[in-house]
Amino acid sequence: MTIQRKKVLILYCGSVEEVTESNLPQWLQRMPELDIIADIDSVYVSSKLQNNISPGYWQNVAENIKKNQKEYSGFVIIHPVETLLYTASAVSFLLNDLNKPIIFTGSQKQDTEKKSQLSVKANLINSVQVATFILPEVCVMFGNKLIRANQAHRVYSYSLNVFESPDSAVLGKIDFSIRIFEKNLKKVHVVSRFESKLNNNVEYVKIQPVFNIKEMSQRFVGKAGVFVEGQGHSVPQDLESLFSKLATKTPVVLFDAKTSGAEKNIIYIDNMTLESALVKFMYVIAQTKDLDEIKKLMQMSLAGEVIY
Amino acid sequence: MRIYFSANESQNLRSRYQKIIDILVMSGNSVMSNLELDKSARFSDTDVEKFRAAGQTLLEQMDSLVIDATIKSPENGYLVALALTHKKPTLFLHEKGTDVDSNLLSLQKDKNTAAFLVLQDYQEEKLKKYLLEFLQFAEKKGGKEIPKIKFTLRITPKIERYLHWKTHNTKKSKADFLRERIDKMIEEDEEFRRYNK
Repeated sequence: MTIQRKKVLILYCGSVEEVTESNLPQWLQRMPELDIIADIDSVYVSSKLQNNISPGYWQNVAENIKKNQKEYSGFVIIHPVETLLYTASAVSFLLNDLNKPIIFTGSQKQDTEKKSQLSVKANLINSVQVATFILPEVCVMFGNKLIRANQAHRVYSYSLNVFESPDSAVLGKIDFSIRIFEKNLKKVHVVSRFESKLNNNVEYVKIQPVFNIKEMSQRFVGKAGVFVEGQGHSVPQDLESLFSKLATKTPVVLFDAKTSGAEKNIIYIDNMTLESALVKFMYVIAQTKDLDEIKKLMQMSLAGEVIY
Repeated sequence: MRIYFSANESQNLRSRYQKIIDILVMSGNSVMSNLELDKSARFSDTDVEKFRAAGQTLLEQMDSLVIDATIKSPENGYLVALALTHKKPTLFLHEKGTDVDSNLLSLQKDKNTAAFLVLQDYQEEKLKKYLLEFLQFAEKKGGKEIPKIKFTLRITPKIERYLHWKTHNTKKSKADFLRERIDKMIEEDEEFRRYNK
């Protein structure tokens, strides 16, 4: 009996100090264990941290996956932890009809270099194994948890599980093998009616105790959208009114803020992660300029990002 | 040693799997398995939660891995890969006449992995020999000579007084004294030596 071997593409986006564009294949060859799980190819995307947080970079990662989608069963992205959730959330929207496993992983910062190297190796092996499954999800794999990426949030503890999520977004756990929780998976064969693009002409505002309404309104001129992060604070009534007035012409998202919730033009969001909400907004305003349509799309689940 | 035994469920091979577990247990090891077989144990729920909270996998808690891959499964390759990553001695068994993934064969030549991997085709009558050879290999690789297994032993006041008297004014601890006595017993136990041949 022979078992058909799967092909997995590893995209390197940084995370391991010793890896460079020229030595990526050699670094992977030092993990011969990977070859017994699948046929592995690799692409060096970039390791420059400053690039990892730009929409152009996210689209670059998504395009690398899309152009190779027919050849590979699954994709593993090695990525720095700090900006991973932005890239992973963006990919989950840009490729929400791909129907193949896309697994983000990397190296946890540990007390010792040895432990760090061990963790990236174990994470990578777990990720490659998951990338051979039939799993239409964009996930993060760290420690012993497989989590839907656009519902994940960072935790700061000694644990190797650097990301957590609500239980419904835990897609699998590692014990002696990988147990996938089928009931938490998205439906297979999503057909997207959207274009794979982002609009980054967004003004990002954090609610501060001190602000100047006149100065703030100047920042919104010419913007395709305004994203306000409330950080759980109350929004002063005059500021909410300003947003409401603005929202008659430009889409405005008010994320995680204590508000009256009564301004019908504002899009109030508190049921997804910050990274998901911001990237989703950039994705949605790239699809349509119709304010009602934008509001409707922001409030519905497009890639499993809504936390119920 | 704590050994994880993995195999693909098969009614035809069930008695053979049980035999593997029997041999491993009779040699003084505790065995955990993906199969529900006699004498193989499982972690308690409390332990599982503790390891999960620390982000550790259960395989990391084991000393070595034994796989019977007579019936092929993609899971076998994954377990071998993960075990080798954590430098766990691994015995990959497959019945004589069955194929092995060529990538596994290449692992035996790789300097990083060869030291921990034993690939062995077998006929049932030689299973015991191969398993016992592997146990010796695993004890060396796993550094079992270094005392690292901790357990609580309750003793009577009389034994405590004796241990104190025996080690008093020597540079030996009570634990060293007991370890040496047990090592001596193992050396002198011909029946145990015969069993391990």
